[in-house]
Amino acid sequence: MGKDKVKLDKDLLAKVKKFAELSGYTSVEEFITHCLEKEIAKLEESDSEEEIKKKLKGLGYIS
Amino acid sequence: MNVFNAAVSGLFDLLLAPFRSLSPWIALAVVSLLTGFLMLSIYRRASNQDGIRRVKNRIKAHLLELRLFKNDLGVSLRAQGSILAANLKYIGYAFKPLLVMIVPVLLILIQLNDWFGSRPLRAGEQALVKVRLAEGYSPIETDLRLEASAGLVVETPPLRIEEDREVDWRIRAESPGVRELILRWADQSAAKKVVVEDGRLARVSTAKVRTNIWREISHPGEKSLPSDSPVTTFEVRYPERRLGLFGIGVHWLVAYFVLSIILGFAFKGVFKVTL
Amino acid sequence: MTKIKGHPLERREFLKLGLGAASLLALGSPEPVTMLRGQNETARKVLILGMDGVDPHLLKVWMDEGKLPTFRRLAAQGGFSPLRTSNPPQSPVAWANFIAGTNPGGHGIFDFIHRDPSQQSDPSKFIVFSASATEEAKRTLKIGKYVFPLSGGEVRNLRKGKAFWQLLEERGIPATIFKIPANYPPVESSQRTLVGMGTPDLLGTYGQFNYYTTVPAEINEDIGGGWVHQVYVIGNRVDAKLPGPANSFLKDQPDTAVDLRIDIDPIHPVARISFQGQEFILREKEWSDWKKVRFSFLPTQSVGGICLFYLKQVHPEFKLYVTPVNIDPSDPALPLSTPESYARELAAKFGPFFTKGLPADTSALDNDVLDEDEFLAMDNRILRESLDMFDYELGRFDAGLLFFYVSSTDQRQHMFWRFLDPASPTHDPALVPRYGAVIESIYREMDALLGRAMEKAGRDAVVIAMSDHGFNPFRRAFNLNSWLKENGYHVLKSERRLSEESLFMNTDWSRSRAYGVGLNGLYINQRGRESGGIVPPGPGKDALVREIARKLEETVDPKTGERAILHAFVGRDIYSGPYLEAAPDIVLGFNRGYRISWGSPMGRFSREVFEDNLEKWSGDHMGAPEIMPGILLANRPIRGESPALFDLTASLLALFGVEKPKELVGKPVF
Repeated sequence: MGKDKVKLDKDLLAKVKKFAELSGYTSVEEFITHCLEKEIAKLEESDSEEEIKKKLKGLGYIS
Repeated sequence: MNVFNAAVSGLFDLLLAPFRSLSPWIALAVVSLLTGFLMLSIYRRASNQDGIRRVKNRIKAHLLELRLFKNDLGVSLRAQGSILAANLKYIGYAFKPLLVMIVPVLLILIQLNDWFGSRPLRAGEQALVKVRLAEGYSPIETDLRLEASAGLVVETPPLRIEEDREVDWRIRAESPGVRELILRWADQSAAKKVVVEDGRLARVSTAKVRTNIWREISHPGEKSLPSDSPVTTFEVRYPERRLGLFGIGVHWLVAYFVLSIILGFAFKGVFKVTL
Repeated sequence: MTKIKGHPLERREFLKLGLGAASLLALGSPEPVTMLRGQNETARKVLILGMDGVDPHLLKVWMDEGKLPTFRRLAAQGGFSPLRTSNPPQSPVAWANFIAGTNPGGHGIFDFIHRDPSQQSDPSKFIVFSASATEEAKRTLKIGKYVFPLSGGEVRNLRKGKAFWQLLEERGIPATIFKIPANYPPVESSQRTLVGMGTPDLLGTYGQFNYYTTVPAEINEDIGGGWVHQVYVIGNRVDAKLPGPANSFLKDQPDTAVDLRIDIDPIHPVARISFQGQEFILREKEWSDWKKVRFSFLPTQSVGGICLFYLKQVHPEFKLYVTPVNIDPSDPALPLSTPESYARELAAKFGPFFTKGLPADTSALDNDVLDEDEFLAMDNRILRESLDMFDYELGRFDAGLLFFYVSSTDQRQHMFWRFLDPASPTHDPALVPRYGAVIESIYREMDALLGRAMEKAGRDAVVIAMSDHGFNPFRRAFNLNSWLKENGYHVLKSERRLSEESLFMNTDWSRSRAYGVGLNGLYINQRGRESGGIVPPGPGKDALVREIARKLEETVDPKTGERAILHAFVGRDIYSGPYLEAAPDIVLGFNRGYRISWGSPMGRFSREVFEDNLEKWSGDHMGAPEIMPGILLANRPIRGESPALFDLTASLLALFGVEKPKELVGKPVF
């Protein structure tokens, strides 16, 4: 798999390193990948989920 | 002003009294008929009837001319010009009586608005009471109190809206009758009628006002507030009345004009008026 | 399909009666029903009270204690029996069983929520509401930013089979059907029917309240069934927006909204709410009357709805609740009744009323937007509105069938069961003195309703009280999808994102053999059916179904040591009829105290398969049907061992002497 490099601000990188370690990630890459996946998933999800949630949740049986 | 208002209002009260238990359409038709008569007689007196007849004949003649000489461009154009001129003249003849009529019509409309614009509260119904203050008075600093006569309840503490110099309350009607609200501030007070009826037609004066003559003329149902009062308007928000016609609600103004026009045309022959 | 052979004599009798009624119809007789009165088997008037979720056990306890004298009297006059419910015992399924007189295979409703297997890869289309579908206009004309529909969009009722009132109509027997669930939009009929559960609000959802608050801690974007808006008091004034339906006349369909202006007194607990030329004052803790609101799409196009306002608090924090915008019955934007004028007739007589199905706002109570008393105030209003209309219908009920439905029994049991159940995780003994009798009191109200009905219906009327299912505690939640994952039947793309996504967006369909959608349903990811299906149909699939069913039944809750699933029914064993496409492969019949978790029905996973149910929604009815029967009481003796909902349909037709079509599977019980 090809890997592209992404530039990060120095201060941010320091923070990322710190929190990756604190939250028990094995590497900085893993932490960043997870963060990005999570954000993208949120964006992907938001529209359809919002619609379906809005429509069906008022039934009361689901959340 | 109060005497004038009371006189005109009294006349209407008397006029409409027999029709209060019937459909509001009947009352409105009666008023339309009477005002139709009034308008026709004003029109006949104030307009130049001979002039109008002459102008209308001239228009008819030119129309004939148009039809006969329709192939002759010169004659047609001239005839059209003459029709236009005659029309302007006709409008000129009609303008004077219209000008004369505008005053009684306005007074009638103001009266009708009291009768047909709103309907009285029904027992159990709630309404908003709005009090507006004159410039320079703050609703929070002015200690206003609202009291109600039996049959009426003030349901909320005052809601003071600084931005609009306004104080609002909510009242509820308990039983039919002409009830009273009393607004007190400092050592003064003002009373306002509140009409609670179940179904019958009644005069509903929405607001008691002060400040200028026009506002007083337009609120004839009650005596005006004293001119030095900090209160400029003392109003009850009655429900709007719509006249039911085949399931749709018609605004009284529309109903009134349609009825007046129909009745006016129907009776123009009787009054020997050329419109 | 199960076929019930009629007794030959009975059958002849039916035919005779049927012919009689048909010929009377042909002659244009106005009252064929009256003519049937002389016959042994026929009735002139049948009155059915449908009380959603009334539980036979509770009813019996309170009848025995003398708290429900009318139920007791009715039982003594005729009989009282548990009523076999549908499988699964969900209201839309159960009521559809009654409406169509079949099992779900005959009407096609298997759950509140279905899935569209052909849309597996599109999360926004995969999970669908079972009872109705909205289709937008197929052809449109786009001019600039405007979109004009050239063909009508439509809402379709997905329930199949004929409704019993349609069968009665064919024989000229009049019926009034008040708010029966699973009938939205109302099926074509000249009978008076008013829609109930399944009816959306004006926004097309099953209920979105609006809550305006100045408390930042109350802001929660993730509330199901409502929007929470952060507002600010600036100069004793709050400006807010009431969201409306999407504007389908504009490109991108932006949401419409109405501006609300709220003025509050600096000291007194009162507020004035103004919008669209209306103004009204509320005191703190006061509900408004119905208010009309219009959302405009184009200068010539707008749609009207109704809502109630509740001023929860003015000082120190401002809190205002607005009910979901209901469709206005005096000017219905969507069909609410047959004939169309019926809803308008009721609105003209009674003013606006709740039209959304299941109007009590359980989401608001569950999310602490409304407290128990506030919820009850709302539900009391719902009940009062309905009862007024019931009295009206009862007053003019002179022939045929009158069916009347009550939702409060179901809704209050859902929300207040925790006060009856000391083992409930949300049981609060301190609140028992206040709310411990809520459920009992609604049963008593039903007793009073029954009393009025029996008195007014007259001696010759057949009076039936029924419910669609019983009730049960909901203490422990079972996440079916997590269970499938743990047992190797379902595979995720990323374990780390396990609980972050719903709608199966994290599912690797190419390696998943089964999934759960809805409240009781389990489906095999079948090749040729699911768009990403991998399990070929045939004996292999059948073996997989049996294997999963067996494992489910063996599953034990580690906390209690109890089995969570009493019975995992195999769909093809329990359903028959022409409409089996949506049938689940397995239907979970939960044990007492258990229900599906909150997230699993919509494809959400959790780390734990079992969790405590920490919601106020503490009673439910997703159990195996054998532990969840409803009630049947009538002033006629009840024959047969364990009558079912579809037997009641057959009974109803028999009472009127109408021959039962062969699609109906039930047997008369009277």
